[in-house]
Amino acid sequence: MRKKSSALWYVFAVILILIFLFPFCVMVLRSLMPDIDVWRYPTLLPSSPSWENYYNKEIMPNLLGQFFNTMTVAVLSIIGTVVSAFLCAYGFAKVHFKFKSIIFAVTMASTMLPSITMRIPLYMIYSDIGWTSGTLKPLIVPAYFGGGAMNILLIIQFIKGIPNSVLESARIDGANELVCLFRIVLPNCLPIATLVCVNTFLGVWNDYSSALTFLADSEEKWTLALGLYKLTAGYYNDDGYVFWINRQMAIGVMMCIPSMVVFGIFQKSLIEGVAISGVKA
Amino acid sequence: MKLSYRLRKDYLGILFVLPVILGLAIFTFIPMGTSLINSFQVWTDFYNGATEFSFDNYVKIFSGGDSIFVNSLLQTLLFTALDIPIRMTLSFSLALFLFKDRTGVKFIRVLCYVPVIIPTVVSGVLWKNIMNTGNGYLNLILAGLGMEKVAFFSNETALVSFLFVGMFGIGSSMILWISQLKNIPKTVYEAADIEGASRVQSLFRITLPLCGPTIFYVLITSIIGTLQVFDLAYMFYDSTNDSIYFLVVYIYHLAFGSIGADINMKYACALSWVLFAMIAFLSGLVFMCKKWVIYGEDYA
Repeated sequence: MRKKSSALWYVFAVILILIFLFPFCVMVLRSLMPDIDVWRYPTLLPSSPSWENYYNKEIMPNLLGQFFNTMTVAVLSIIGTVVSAFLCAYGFAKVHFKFKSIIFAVTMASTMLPSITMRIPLYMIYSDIGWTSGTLKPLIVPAYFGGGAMNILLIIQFIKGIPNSVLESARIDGANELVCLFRIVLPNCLPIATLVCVNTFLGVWNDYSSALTFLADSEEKWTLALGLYKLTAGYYNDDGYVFWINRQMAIGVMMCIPSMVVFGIFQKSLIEGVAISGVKA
Repeated sequence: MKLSYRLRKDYLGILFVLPVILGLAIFTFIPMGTSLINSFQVWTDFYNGATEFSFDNYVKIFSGGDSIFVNSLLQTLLFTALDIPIRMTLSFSLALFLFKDRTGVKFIRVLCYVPVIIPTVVSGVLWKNIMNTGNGYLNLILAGLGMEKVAFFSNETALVSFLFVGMFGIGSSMILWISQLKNIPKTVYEAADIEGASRVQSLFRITLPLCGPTIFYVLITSIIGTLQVFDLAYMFYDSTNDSIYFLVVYIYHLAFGSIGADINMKYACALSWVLFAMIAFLSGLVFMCKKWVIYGEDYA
């Protein structure tokens, strides 16, 4: 009886895997198709699989520029997020001050506000100060102001695990708050710092709606996600209007690789992070 | 002496959280204020807006004169009402299926999570292609089974297709359910077993009530998130399928332009405040039900 139900379980599991991996497999198959397959019917498998879409000469130069833009945003946002989220989390977790609970509550509540309400006026403000053309600042600068309520919450949960007595004895020995933060808290927080970095990277890598809002006018500043989105409308070259799903899928596969690698390496802490923010919030 | 010490402490604490205070001011409260003021003004063009106070935008919204708004509001509510229960049921069932430790279960969990980490744009491009009427894989499979082709993104079918695509993202809620399920002490089930409770009974009488905190959290975040559905909908909407013309997509088109929609940023601001009020009202309703949620301390 037990063996039978276990076998049944594995059958279901295989079906599940097939369902969840189906879209990804389609993407890989499409990306391996030569151009003639795109308009052939029916096309389940590539007639002669090749990697040529992965280094197509028409798209590659743009792609490198977009990759560079994306990485610029990612690196600068990661630095900003980690530094400012740590300062804030330490303040919330280990320093007692007036209005702390109010400020904390407002910070957490702000995540519930619809982002579109802020996005339109932010666009107006950015356009007044010239940030809506030719600059990546709208995507980077906000990271330096707190780094997001969820990151702060994650770090707070972690810092709270450091016993107060350790900090107290350091303070008695004459350490000020900054020494406490850098010498005691930070070295103990490497796991959560890694998680925040990875989360921020994935966020930047996936984000297209804020890139779409703030970067759409300046093509040289497009990120990969925005570039791929714009490509879905097709584009013009010497042959006229072209729309190659196989090339788009190749870019899609390439865009998935960093996410997959990062997720593969950090999956344990990433999944725990999702669980923590859900249970503690 | 004591007072000055306390003052210094306050000052220090505020200094630590200064980034987030400034951030809230600059990126949340100032924009919200700007948006509120703008929503009470009439739009002319981007550089010379009228600054007189006027209720025109709100009159236009609440008189029902804007049929596109009425349609997008109804579709958004319909989508929310369908999506949240289906998604919660599916992700909870998946978690029940995958939470017991067996050989290979961790690997399967990760594979179920894979669609969540595929970048949104990529899955947009991908699903548009898979569900393509001409030679999309789904239609090729349907043809192979001898069925007729379906136009997955026509006005009649788009909402269902959109729900279907969204279900590939249930992996993230599944993680939450699993960690909550693991928190339930085994002894509770053993006790129920001795008392002769059936599996179904212990699911509905023990597991579900003890998952209260996660149900509450998932419900709140889904209400907030689903009413703002944008990313994929923006990619799938093509001006023929109004059934997935959701509120935020409409607001976005009003604010930043699209083919066939006139830009009216101030009206868009007013609409975004209506959306905000709706979200606040619905999550407020759920918060009022919070007293039914059992937290860990109560039974442990």
